[in-house]
Amino acid sequence: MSHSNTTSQVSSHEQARTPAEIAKVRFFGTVSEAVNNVLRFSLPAEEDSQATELNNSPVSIESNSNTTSGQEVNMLNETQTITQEVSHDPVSGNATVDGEVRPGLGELRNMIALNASSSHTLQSDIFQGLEEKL
Amino acid sequence: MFDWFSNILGLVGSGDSTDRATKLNNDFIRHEAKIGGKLFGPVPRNRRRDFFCLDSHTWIWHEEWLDQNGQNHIQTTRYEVRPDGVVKAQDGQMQYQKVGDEELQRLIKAAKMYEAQVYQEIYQPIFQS
Repeated sequence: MSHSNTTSQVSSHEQARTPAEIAKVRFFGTVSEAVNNVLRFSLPAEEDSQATELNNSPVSIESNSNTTSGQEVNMLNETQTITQEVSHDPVSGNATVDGEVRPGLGELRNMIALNASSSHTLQSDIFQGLEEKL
Repeated sequence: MFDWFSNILGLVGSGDSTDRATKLNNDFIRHEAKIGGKLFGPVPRNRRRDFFCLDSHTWIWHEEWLDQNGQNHIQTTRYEVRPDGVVKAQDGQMQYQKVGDEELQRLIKAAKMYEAQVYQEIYQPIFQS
């Protein structure tokens, strides 16, 4: 298949990129997209229904955050973890990983695709836009 | 020594400065592969395991080990995510087989862990610097 060489084919535009910019394209453009692509085949998980129930329960994360007992903290962590999975929109919404909200991948993909055929000036504008979102 | 990574990444080791971006990108993948290999528990002695995202549709599992007779074994599994499902091919064969539900769910779980782990260990420090 032709996929094998795609990661190593870096356009001439990328020569001007900083390591941080290349890292952003690699992570937000490739890794996150690959995860989202495979997530489309997730089976409805038991966790998901549990997460919905937890999200709708009167016990909110906010109210738990003031507690100090180990048991309650664990429950908070569990709630957060499950909520992260549910909020990970595989199509266009923001992804939340480790409590950090990332920009919508659809928008990122468009920006990266645009970047592939852009001038250097436009490219720097795009990355500036990306950085503002991060 | 044969570098299977360079082979699979299509990296040409010219050392030319124009390849710097390519090399950096591939270095990111090498680091990811090391982290990915540890997602599945401790790696036994005499064994090397790499798991990584090659591109937006391809995941690679690579394992090398020495058997009791000191013979080296290599197995590479390539998972390809297609619109109608996920298929895999092993050891460079072009014959693909559909990935079963159980294996697919494990792959999905691994991919999610991979994303979180490489972000935390590789990319977050770069973005924050």
